[in-house]
Formats: sequence, C-alpha cells, structure tokens
Amino acid sequence: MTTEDIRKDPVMRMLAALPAGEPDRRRADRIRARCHAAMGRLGWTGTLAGLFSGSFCGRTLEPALVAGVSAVYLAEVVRRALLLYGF
Amino acid sequence: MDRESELALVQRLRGGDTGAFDAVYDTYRARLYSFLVRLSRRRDVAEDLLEETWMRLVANARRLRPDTRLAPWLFTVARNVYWSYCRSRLLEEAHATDLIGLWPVADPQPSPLELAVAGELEIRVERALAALPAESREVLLFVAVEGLRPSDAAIVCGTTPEALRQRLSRARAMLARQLETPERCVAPVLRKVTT
Repeated sequence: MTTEDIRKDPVMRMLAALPAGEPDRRRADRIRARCHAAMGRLGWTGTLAGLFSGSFCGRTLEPALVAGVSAVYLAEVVRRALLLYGF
Repeated sequence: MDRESELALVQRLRGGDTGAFDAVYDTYRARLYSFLVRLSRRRDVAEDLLEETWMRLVANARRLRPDTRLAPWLFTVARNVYWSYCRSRLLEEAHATDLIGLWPVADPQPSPLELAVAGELEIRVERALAALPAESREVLLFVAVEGLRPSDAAIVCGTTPEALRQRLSRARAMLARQLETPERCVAPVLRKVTT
C-alpha cells in the first residue's frame, strides 16, 4: 500500500479516526515525577562522568595514576619476593 | 511538532532539561499509551509498559543523536518493551482475547450505558483490531492510527519498507474481513451484556 492508498482507504480512515486515550491521571503524574527524579540523578552522575572523561583527567591524569599505583604494587611484590628468598 | 522544535527539544533532552522532557511527555504520552493499550489489549499492562518506555528515554537522553526523530524513536522503544514483555511473560494470544476491554472507557467491563453512548462503529473497529494477531495489529497502529510513514514504520518494526507494505496490506485485509463478520470478534464480555 502506498501513502496515497492509505490516505484514501476507508478501513484505514476508520482506524485513523479512533480516539486516543490517556493513562490514569495519578499514574501519569507518578511517571513524570519518577522520570524527573531519574533525570536529576543522571545529571549528577553525568556531571561526574563528564569530569573524569574530560581531556585532561581522562587522557592524562587517569593513565598516570593507574601506572603509578601499578608500579608501587609491582615494586612491593618484587621486594617481598626478594625477602622471601633471603636477599 | 515541526522539525525545528523537535531538534531543539532533543538538544535540551541531551542536556538533561526536565522542561524538555515535560514537553515530549505531554506530546507523546497519550499516543504511546493508546498504542500500548491497543497492542497489549490491557490497560494495566499498557501503563507499566508506558512507564518503562519513558524511563528508557530518560536513561538514554544523553546518548540521543542530535538528529533523532522522537516519534519513531519512542514507538520503537514502546514496541520493543511490549515484545520483551511478551517474551518474559509468555503472553498467549488465545488467553488474551478474554481480557479485551472496550476502548477508551476506564472500566475494563463497559456498562450497557457506555456501550450505548460509544459509537457502534468505533466499537466494531476496536474489536476487530483487537482480534488480529499482534504482528498485524502493530503495523496498522503505526501507519493508520499513529500516522507514521510506512518507511518510518519499517524502521520501527526492523523490516524493509517493501516487507512492511506487504504486512500492511495483509493486515488491512484481515481487518476488513473482521469488520465484515463482527460477531467473530465480539468478546465474551460484550456478548454477555447484549444478550
């Protein structure tokens, strides 16, 4: 069926004339409030995520921090291993 | 809603603007709800699915593409939410026909007065529509009731425009047959009221 067929077809026109309904008013308000609350929460986490995914933090500070902690951990593992074998 | 306003709303939604959410919610709430009621044939289920649809919009608002078209996006989510529900609950078509309620009255079992007031033709169309398989119902709802272009409806249904046109023609023929034989699609509730 083409768009023109759809527009002219009597069965389709009957369907197009069907009324829209509304959800229960209280439920609709509750959905709105819940979405607002979720948007508020996502705004907060989004801001934090944005902070850490920024050009300086995301590309420079974070890898440097991870590398530093890993280096300290590795040095400690080596030190303990040497102590264990009496060096 | 013109395209320019829609793009502006999408931009504001991406920024977490609750005012933009309200504007989208007020524009599409009734349409989505009507679609979900007619697809699921249950008001309580439709309200749950409606809530899930809006929550998904909120969860994905920041990831919306700047050129997102809201109607196809929302109807795609609503449709996916419905089919996920069917899979999770193993909703059976045969049992669901017992749960059909008259549209759009609030009481799932319409009173004789409501039946008299509601348009006879409208009731017949709703009943005939409800008697179709969900795959046929959804394509009629998208194109004829919600006014999506067949190409958009094809995207929403995850099919090609040509396949959608064929589905639409078949669904339309099934609906026409149902309308010619209304007694086949009358739910037990209605029979009880009228006899």
